[in-house]
Amino acid sequence: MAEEFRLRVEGVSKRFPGVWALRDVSFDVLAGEVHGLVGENGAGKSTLMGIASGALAPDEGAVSVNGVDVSADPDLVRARGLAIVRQEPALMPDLSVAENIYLGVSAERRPRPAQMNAWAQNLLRQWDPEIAIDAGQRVDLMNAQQRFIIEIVKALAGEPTVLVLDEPTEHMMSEDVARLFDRIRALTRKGVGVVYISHRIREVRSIADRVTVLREGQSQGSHAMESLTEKDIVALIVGKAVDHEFPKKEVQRTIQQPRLQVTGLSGEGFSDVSLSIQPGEILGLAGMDGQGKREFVAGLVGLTTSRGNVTLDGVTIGTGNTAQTAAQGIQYLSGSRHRDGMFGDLSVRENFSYRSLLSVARGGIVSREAESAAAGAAVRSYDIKTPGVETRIGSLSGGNQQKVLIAGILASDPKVVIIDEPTQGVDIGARVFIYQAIAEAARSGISFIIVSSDAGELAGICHRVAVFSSGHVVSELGGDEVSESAIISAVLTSGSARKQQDGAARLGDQLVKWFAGNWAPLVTVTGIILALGFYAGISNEFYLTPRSIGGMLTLVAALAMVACGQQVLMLIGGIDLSVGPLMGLTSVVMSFFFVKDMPVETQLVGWLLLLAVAVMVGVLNWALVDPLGMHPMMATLATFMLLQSVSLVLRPTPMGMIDFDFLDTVNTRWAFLPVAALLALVLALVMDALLFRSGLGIKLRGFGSRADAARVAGINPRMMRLLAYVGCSTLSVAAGVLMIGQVGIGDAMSGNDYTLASIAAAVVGGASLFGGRGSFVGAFLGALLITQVNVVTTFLNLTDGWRSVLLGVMIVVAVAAYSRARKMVVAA
Amino acid sequence: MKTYFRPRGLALAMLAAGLAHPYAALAQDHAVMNQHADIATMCGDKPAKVGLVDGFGGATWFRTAAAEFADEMKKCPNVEAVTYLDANGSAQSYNSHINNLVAQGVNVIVAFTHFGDASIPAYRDAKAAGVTMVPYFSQLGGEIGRDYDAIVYQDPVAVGGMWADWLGQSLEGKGNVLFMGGPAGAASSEKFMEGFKAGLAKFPEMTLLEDQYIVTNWSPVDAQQAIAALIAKYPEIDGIASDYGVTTMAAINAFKQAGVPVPAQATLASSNELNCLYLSDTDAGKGWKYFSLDGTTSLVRFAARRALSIYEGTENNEPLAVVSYPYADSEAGIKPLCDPDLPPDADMSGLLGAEKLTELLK
Repeated sequence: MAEEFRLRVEGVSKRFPGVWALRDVSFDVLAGEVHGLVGENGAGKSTLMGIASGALAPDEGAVSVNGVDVSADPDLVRARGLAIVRQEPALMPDLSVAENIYLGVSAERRPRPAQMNAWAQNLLRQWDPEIAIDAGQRVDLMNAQQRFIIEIVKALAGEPTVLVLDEPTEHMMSEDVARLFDRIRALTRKGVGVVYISHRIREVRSIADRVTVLREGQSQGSHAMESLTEKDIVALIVGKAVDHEFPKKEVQRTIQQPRLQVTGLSGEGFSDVSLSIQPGEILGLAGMDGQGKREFVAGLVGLTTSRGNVTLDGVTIGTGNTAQTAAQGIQYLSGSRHRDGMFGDLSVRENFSYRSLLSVARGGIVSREAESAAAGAAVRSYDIKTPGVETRIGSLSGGNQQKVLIAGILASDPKVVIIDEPTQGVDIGARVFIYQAIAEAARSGISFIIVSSDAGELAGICHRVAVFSSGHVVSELGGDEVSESAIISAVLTSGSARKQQDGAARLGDQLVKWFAGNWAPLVTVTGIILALGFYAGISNEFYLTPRSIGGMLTLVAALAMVACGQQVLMLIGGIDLSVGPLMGLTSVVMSFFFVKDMPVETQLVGWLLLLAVAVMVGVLNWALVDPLGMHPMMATLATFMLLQSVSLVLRPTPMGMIDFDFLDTVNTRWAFLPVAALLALVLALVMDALLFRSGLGIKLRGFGSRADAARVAGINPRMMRLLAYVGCSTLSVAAGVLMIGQVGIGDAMSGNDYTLASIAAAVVGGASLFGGRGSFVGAFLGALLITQVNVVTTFLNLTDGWRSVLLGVMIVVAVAAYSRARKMVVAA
Repeated sequence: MKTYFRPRGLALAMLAAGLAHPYAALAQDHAVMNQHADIATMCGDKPAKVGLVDGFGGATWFRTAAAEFADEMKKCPNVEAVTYLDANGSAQSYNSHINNLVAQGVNVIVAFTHFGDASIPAYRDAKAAGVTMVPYFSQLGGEIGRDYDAIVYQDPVAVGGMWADWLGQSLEGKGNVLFMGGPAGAASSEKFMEGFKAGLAKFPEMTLLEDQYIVTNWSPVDAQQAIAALIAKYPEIDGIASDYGVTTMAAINAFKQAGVPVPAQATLASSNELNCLYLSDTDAGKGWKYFSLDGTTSLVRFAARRALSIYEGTENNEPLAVVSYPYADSEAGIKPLCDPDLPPDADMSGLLGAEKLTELLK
């Protein structure tokens, strides 16, 4: 019967420094079964799934998938058919939806790159025939819910035999939850085993056949679902019976002057919103995503600009920026804790006290003792599970992080606290605690605005709930109307404005979207080149002549080649400062082997040596960055100096005139066009084809876009970096060979200008310093534009200062336009 | 080779001048910076467009030289246009500028040899396109007729010999001397040193205290430190030669700070600041022996005449090698000019004249 076990975890233990993450846990999933896995954050669910997926090696015990022992071998786990859908989708934002799905399946399941979009679209339609996701679009244009659906479609595309779903419904609307459950049932009918991890006990109860509860690294047993009530499960999770999840609500009095009065507030995504909140009142904001509740909050706290009137205790206040609103006593806790709610690398103490620094300061200087004491007190009174106040907050579980942040906010003596999704990613124990803390603070007179997509949560803690639709408050529920069903019905009956919004993209939005696209840099740069050329052509009759264009393209060749090299690295988020001196070294090496009357054999040795230099420099840069972990900027700066000294030792002064026949070959022209420049263009086109149409290119971009997600897709980071560094240095040496046509001699310094110029060319051509974006044709065009600006200034009789100004302005405008647009289109 | 020019940095140009190409012949036959032929006989009658390209212009010396170039060329009525381009330190821009001038139909190009032999392919390309190409300031590799039409350069060995002669005579053939050069291994400093040593050989009682030149990196700070150390090492220093007025200025400061009388100074490419100091010290009765070879901003006029005469096919008998002339000589009673209204790095030793110089630098 062994083959009936899809996944089997036997007696697994895992110890992290100072703590047993798992202790003798056994867990199995049968074919055709949905097995729920529940427990508080930190109970060991993630560790257990890490071990099951092979990412972590257990200290004791064994894992088998479909009867084969797969302990600590992620590739084997994947090959045996286990797929994980993570809570945070492991998607590469700069890649298209189709490319992400492509990389997400094993190599033999991948279609030919040309068919990728149709293949992926078909998979998406299998999820929802009317799906609004376009497989060709980049993932960063997708919202959280769409990203999660892509993650699930990706996992299903691999036709897994074991599917692990980690908090799958956190970002989902109810129709998609129903769809997910349908798909799960269809899969189990085919014999797939499913692990369903969730905080939402009701969901687990409705989908799972069995449930396993983990508490503090130990299994509380696997139980048939029918044998447990919801209350039983909660008791197993917390280790004691929990009577009430939500604290008792105080009866709300409406007697006083409102604490906060918002009148006719309008801004991006919401308009004419009027609300008032009493001291000690908890107001909930409900509504579907994109209907204005978060946009309103962003305007109110000054994250975005808004117009209208806001009074606090009867006094009109400004909402220009968050510092201003915070100073007035309005504190805001973002819903995306990881993105902008906390400083993940700072300690518990610092995250606790940064909002209330004045209260722990003595004469303007933060008192460390007072700060630690206050943080320590908060850790105790909020029952925050942390080794100490100096622990990095990022290492705590979600519930404990949230407690630290809420404690910090309440310690800053606020008048109004706005919390977006107070319990997202927070386990049940911490959740109860947070509800109590909010209720208690409200009793002391602090007003709350709670934004939540969980209607039960709003109903449980809020005195009043305002429902948003299309940017307006469409209804307000108070008193007995504040119930889960009433909120859901208000949200659902407020109209299906979500679809309308999709259709009605304004021209401005489309322009922004276009600027964020892959074509924008190419079209923009080409446009500027043509416009500049046209202007220079009518201003100076000599500009558009074969001599001038030919001479300019000669200069473009070497720069474009090295810019392509730089682009390879920038695609993976790296940078190479050593390209310039490497070009100089190339000229120095050539000055020993390609001088007059050298026999062919010597020249051959020269070519081999150049190749060896390219590979060695690439490997050296890689070794400094990857195994040694140096920052690319520092590593390649060190190589910069090293190469410079080697060149200077070999050629202290420029020497060794290259053979003229050789120079003539390098400078060959086809009609008036330098062959070297044409070669660089062809190379850029071929490399772009590889970058966008081959598995390797997609992997490279995916790795640059998001390294951890790429690793999940089975991309080897070391290999990617090695490839990029060796590729960059090889192209730099090739650029050095083209440069020799202009320099003609071994000159150690001759390439130095190319370091910055190559970076500028790649960036103007659309490269992102953060990786994942850009193209080789873009780098070529960037090189062409930079060279053109240099040349044009002389034809327009502009002084040299103008050239620098023009170049600087161009780079700033280009980078600003692309990066701003890219940021603006990224869906929340 | 790229050389960074400090604002007052003529002598760095001397480095560019002396790159590693051994001079085929030490020009016995050289012109002097203040003895110019008249361009009128060389103008010819073909209309000409001319251009000057600098490697790293902008500094006062280069602005002055560019003005001298235009001043010289405009003496010929058939010169239709004078274009000036500055590569701002970039070898690629320098090559591009030469190509752009060719594209714009310029007939004559004069170019400062800032990047040394690395610019030869660009010169050759221009020459192949039918332009008269004359690099100036330093000797280069390459071949006349194939790579360029002529090179006009200053002769560092001759300059070294002139310092030696002056020091020998002013110290009456007897004394301890030093020579300050640029960075270690600077080719031009080696050449100056070579001429300086050869010149000292005529004075058996003159002692060269350090066989290698004093490394100053052409930096006033480094020069002052080096000289301060040498003052402590040698109780008696009677004369110092230097290939850069700025390091001479620094040496004088070192002696003053040590409370030691300033020894005889022989230098190249002085400045308004150094000359004003010399005059004020002399007026105050604290004068020192001083010899400065100057006129380097006028070298470009020799190049202008050479290039134009080649293009026009007119006769030009001036030698290609040029040496600076004594602009200040305390022994011969030659007083340098000092103008407190001009910048400290102004060079008044050329042929531009005070009025045009003031106009240019104000």
